[in-house]
Amino acid sequence: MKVFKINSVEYSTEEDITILDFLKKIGIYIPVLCYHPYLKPVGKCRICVIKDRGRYRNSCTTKIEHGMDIQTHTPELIEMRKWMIQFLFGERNHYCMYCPITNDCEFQNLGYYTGLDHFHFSTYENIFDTDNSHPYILFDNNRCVLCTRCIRVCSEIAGHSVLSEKGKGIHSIIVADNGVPLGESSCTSCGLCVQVCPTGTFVDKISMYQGRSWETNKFNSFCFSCPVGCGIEVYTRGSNIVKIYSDWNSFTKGLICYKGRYQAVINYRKNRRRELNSIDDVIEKVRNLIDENSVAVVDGTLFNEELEKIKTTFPKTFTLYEVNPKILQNNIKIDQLENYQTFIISGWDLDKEYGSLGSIIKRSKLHRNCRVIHLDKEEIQFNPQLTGKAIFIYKNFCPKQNLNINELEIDELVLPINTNDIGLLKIIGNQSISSESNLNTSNLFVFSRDLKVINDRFIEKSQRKFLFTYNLNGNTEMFDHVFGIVSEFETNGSFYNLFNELIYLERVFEKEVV
Amino acid sequence: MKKKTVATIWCEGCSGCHMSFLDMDEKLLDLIKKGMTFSASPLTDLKIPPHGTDIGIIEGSVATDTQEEEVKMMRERCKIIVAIGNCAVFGGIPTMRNKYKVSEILSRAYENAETNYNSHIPSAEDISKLLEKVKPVDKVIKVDYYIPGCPPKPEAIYETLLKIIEGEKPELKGKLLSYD
Ligand code: SF4
Ligand code: SF4
Ligand code: SF4
Ligand code: SF4
Ligand code: FES
Repeated sequence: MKVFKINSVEYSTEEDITILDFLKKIGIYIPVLCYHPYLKPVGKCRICVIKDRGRYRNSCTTKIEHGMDIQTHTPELIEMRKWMIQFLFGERNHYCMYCPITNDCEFQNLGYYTGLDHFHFSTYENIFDTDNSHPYILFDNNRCVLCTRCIRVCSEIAGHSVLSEKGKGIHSIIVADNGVPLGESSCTSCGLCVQVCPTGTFVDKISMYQGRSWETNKFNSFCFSCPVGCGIEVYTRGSNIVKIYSDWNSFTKGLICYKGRYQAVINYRKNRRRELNSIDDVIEKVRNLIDENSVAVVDGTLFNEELEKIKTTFPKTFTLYEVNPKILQNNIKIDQLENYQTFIISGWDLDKEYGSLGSIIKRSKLHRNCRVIHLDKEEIQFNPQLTGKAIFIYKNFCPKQNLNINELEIDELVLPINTNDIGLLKIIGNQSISSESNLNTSNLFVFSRDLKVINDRFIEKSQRKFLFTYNLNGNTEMFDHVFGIVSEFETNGSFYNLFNELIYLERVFEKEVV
Repeated sequence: MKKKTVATIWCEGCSGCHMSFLDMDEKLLDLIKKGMTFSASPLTDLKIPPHGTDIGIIEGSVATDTQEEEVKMMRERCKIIVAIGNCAVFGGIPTMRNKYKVSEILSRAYENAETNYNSHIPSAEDISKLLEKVKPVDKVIKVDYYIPGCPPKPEAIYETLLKIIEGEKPELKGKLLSYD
């Protein structure tokens, strides 16, 4: 039992806990800058300074010890913090009125908190280049306070390890791949650096000037862009999605990728203000055209409820493509991935698809020394002394799937092509349209939020072709009639993620945006 | 009631701070009721305040030799100096030119601008000279109180002047302290 004093009041705890975390628990606020609740503390900025028996300590990195006598808000400490904030303001260009994040900035709030109303020093006059090479992220070292949150998140959480610090002291800057423009670097655009940066150094281009955090409504939801189903926060303003952040408190613990963060927003904005219908409504519109020779074709871009509805409405329902039935046996949970020592992957790119899964594998390699074998690139010579547990993660039917894994006691995880392929199999079954050679249809109804490929041969045989889709800019030419259906943000629905867990999405927008 | 005289000048600024000053609206009358009166100011169109003026308000940063003289003149003639707006307080937008040499700036504006034809850098004795670097006011004279903001909030100007008129020390708190 540790007994100690904070501002002359006695406390005790059994916990192995930092001073900062303990202060938070008892409701004493200490300003922080380099500290971030989901990253390892490094004690770099010293803003969180406290005094213990005559010594200054960083509260974010110092553990509570027996006998401590902690002062948190003496006039001297308050003054010290103000000076440190002022140094940081002066070292770079913090003329807030040119900054895209002003009025929504952690660092600026520290200036306000400490009552900083002018600088004692000349401001930093060295000017760095602004890097506008990245499609989604504006990167301006002129506002960096060198807290290293971005470096840590990119490595510790995202596993991409793109960022580092280069140079000495206040002249150092954050660089990608040791000094190439961000847009030409190995950055995967997960955007986590933007999410944790306390300044306007990393800024989301698609979100700036669309609304400050406090002008938006926040919804906790799940990403529907791939079968990982990451926990996300959707920030809306009116009928617009301002930004999507990852949800630290969800099962994916802050992971996200470019699809969930950027592409979902861009797609939504592109199709906003079109006429979009729920599946229920759209079926009513075409109900009198459904006869006994009508056929519906569906895929894993639809929710379970929508699949059920279509299945009960049409005499015959097929899946658009063949799904590997093994996905139904996926029984590994996301946290268990941390138990594997070898990852064998095939049929997918760690940086481009299932991005958060890619992050888990990349950071396992980076921080746990795991082995990652890309089966598509290297021939695997299975040495029987494979140390630790191994898992084979491949997309749907991969050419290498005959790998005799049972003998090697390797676990398997099969990646669905579309988000809800597991729901598709469970509800519709595995009757794929591509395996039907002589089917005579009158009216053909294809349901897919984002139609990529469809078999021409089959299309030609049908008399009238209807497409129900969200992506109206997609593959629509060969259809006679195209109807817009709502996005994942405008309907309630459930789906199975690749870990076979049932996930519910609550609608983010009250009404369909017409 | 003892009158408090106020003088205002604007240096390298856009006049936005003076607009904010006027945006105090009916609170301006409130200050006048409490004893505020103007000496030299763009509002009265007088240029030089008398010695012993109580409050000198400066908008804009210091970018020319004339402005340097003007702020020194304000310091000599006013008991309390208040810097208002980000330009006066921090340097603000005019400091964007600090990256370049004065000769480069003049040449860009008067010789190489796309709209110029056969023009040259004007030279006459009574034209102010650009300083090498644009500075906030407190790098030239001592400043007593600061009201940052671009433009500063009318409420912040009001609170500061009210406190000074009432003989108290002004301090901007909460929403009144703003950098934008
Ligand atoms: S990063 Fe924050 S403090 Fe710096 S200029 Fe931008 S808004 Fe101001
Ligand atoms: S976007 Fe992601 S991958 Fe790219 S630098 Fe930022 S954290 Fe790293
Ligand atoms: S870019 Fe942002 S997160 Fe990274 S060190 Fe600079 S201020 Fe911190
Ligand atoms: S990994 Fe998949 S679920 Fe997660 S953010 Fe990316 S697209 Fe969305
Ligand atoms: S927050 Fe503790 S040292 Fe930066």
